[in-house]
Amino acid sequence: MYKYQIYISDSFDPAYNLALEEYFINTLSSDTKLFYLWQNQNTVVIGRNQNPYKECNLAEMKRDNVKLTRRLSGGGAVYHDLGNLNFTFISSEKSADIDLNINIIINALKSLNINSEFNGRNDIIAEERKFSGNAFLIENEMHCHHGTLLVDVDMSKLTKYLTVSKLKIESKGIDSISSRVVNLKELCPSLDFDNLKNKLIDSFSKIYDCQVKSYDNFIDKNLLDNYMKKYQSWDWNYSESPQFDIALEKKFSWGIIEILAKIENGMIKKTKIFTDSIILDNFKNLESSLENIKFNTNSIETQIDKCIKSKEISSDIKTLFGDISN
Amino acid sequence: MKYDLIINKLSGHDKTGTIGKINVKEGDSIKHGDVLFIIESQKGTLKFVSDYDGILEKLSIHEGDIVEKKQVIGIVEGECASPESCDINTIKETPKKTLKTSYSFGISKPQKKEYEKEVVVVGGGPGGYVAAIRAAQNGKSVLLIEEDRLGGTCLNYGCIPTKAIISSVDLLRKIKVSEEFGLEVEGLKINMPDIIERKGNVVNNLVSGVEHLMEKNKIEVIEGRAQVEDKNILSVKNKKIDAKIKFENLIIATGSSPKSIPIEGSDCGSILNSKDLLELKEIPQSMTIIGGGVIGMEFAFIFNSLGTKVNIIEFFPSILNNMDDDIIEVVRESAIKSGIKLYENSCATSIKTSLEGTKIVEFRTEDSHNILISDKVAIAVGRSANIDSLDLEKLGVELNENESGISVDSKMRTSNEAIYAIGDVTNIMQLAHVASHQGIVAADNIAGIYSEMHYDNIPSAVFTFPEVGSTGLTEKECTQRNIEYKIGKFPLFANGKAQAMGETEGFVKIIANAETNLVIGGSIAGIHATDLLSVITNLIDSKTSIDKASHTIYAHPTTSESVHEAILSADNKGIHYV
Repeated sequence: MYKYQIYISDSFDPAYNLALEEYFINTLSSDTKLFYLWQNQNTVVIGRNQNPYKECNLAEMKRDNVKLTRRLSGGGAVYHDLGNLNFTFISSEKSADIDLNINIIINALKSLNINSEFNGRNDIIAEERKFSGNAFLIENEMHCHHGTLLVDVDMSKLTKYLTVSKLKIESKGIDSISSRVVNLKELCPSLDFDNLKNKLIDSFSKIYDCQVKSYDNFIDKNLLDNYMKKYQSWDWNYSESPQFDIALEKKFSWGIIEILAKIENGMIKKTKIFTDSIILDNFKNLESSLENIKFNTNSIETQIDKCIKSKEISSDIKTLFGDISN
Repeated sequence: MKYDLIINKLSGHDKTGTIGKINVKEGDSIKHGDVLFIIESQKGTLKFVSDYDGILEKLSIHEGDIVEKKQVIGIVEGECASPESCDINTIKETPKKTLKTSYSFGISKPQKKEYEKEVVVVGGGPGGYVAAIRAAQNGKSVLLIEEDRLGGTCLNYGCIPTKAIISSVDLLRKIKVSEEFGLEVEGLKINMPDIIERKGNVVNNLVSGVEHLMEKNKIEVIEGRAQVEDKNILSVKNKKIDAKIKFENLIIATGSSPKSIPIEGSDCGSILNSKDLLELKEIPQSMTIIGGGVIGMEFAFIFNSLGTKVNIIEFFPSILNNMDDDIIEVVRESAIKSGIKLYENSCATSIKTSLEGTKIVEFRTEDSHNILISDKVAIAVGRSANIDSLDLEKLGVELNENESGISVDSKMRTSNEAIYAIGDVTNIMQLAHVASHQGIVAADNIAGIYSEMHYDNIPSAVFTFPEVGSTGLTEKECTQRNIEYKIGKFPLFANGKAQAMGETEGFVKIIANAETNLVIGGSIAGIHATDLLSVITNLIDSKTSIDKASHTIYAHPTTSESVHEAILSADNKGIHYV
């Protein structure tokens, strides 16, 4: 007998929600099917094999306090705010049925008078516009299917954070594909979240006959904490990126500087600096000091401070890096 | 054996996928279960997991590459740990030759090499590496062969890693009583993977220390498994070299492996041994440990402190059976108080696994038949000598009477005069410090320096909470040997420093020969017990009488004053306790 369960997270923290999802994947028994609903506040979620430096505007995100989280599944980068609702289906790989899952979503929307369809590119669309992106992963013979539902997302922000700086980055891995998107609220102005959640739950329980369940007492907090640590860590969110090269170039009052760097596992592996600076400073030293350090603002700025004597040059180089590192 | 790495699976019916993050590179050693890289395809993301233990000789993909199902993407040299996939992927004998030539740009053939050394040591544990160093100090040319990691079981899977974990646990226990010390700690979390990582760092540090010592002493180290070719020739083959090693003297130090017990279910893969216990990244809810000796009890306290419900099943009448009863009582009391369930005088008869994966251990006592249910079962019933690690017959090396170890004399010489054996493989006393000393004795004798091994003053240390240790003779042994003895005993609660530290469990006990008044043994339970022990070991070794020992001044305020007080009370002259 299969066990069917529904769980709704009341946290808006992406680290918590994704940790809980991974926790479910790793702890649920193979005869369980779980439907899990969750929302993240102000977060860019990137695909398993993506490069955040390439996919999002980290400088803007930093300014606006937007979190970055890498998820387990592949695919492209998405922006989440409270106008977005995420759903997850977890089951054994054997019993996973993506089409049925999608139908649960489509049926729920139908009861709200929204007609939609699955486009075969893992998107659910209405009137030719996408409102739900889906991704899948398999881990230890458990299958996870999750997706987004754009209900009332701030589209200007979506564009802002997912537009990359003009920076030149040469990267392997998976690129995001931009799509024409639409908020469900635009299709059905009276739609509210509680209503949508209820319809989704009805639609799931119509097929699987079950109630919303409170898991809280069953969750092993220690284990969950370990997963959360991962989703909060720089190592997972940034350094799990495929290797990439960056090229920074800018003209300052003291001359042109060009910095090339190869980044692997979040570490700067090789650096080259070219400059025609009229002020003599220790660029050679900076070049070697910027190798084998973490690719983040702190480590980079420490090295700049150590090597460059001129206050002006030092702060200019920092701004150059400031646009991309975090 | 060489195997092709093949993309056997993609999500759903997808036919191609994109390579995401790659975690390994050519030349890396990989283990069964390692995630080599991630493949992303339209219907999902999955991990490419290694079925092999070995070296990744070739990897022909890059991040971002598109691959097809059934595509060969690399070559592993090693062993297959998952039989289903191995048959398919084995590079068959015949095409092997062509493969070798076609891939020769990446893979160099093992280089043939011949060595002639005065001393060859097989096994790089605390016996072997110490013997190698001493032999080198004695001016010998030395070569050491190790198939796993320098430092052996002790450093990699035994003494040191357990102590690293115990240090974490010790801190945890202190934090739990921090309020008694006027400190309030909030938000305490146990992060098991970090504890294990710290342990790994400690181990790695020490292993590289041993590597450094080998280098400094100009000892040649070859990685691999030694094979006996002839009475004075060994061979070792690894990825890089195919070596023939001729020796004048050989020191066998191949150690021991965890023993199991011949009961139903004990050979089931999910039963843990001491090595497995050191890698548990999740804290089990409950665990039954079969064996209440040193290893079993140390792990019992570790997991108990981490929150696991621990049961101990001990065959002998008591846990830590060789220790004196008063010492055992301290540990037993502490165990029971901490919630460890002790079933002594109990014989485990079977281990079964329920449908949910929980384990059911059946055991019987003299008058009852019982079962225990727990998430995990560990077996810690001692270690057996690795006597099959070399072809002893070819070497002319004989086993001891009950065939449980290599037979040696007091100079550590085997039945073949040119060959010595030391450490656990001799099964005399399976302790790291015994192995080290045996190594020194063997190396000295090889260099013509007379040296003999004695076993009547060997200290032993057990890192339970509190820790306990014993050196020289125990009361039990005195009784067995009909030695008339007297004891001096001092409880730690009467020691100022112990009181200040809030660690008042335990005592120091000195045993003296009633006739000669010489110190012949001692046992300590309590804080710093294992460190204080060496004071007594020295007194015994230098044949010191109680009278003479009592004149030494011990620093105040230290726990070592308890040793002094115990010495004084052997003559009923203790100051701080009546």
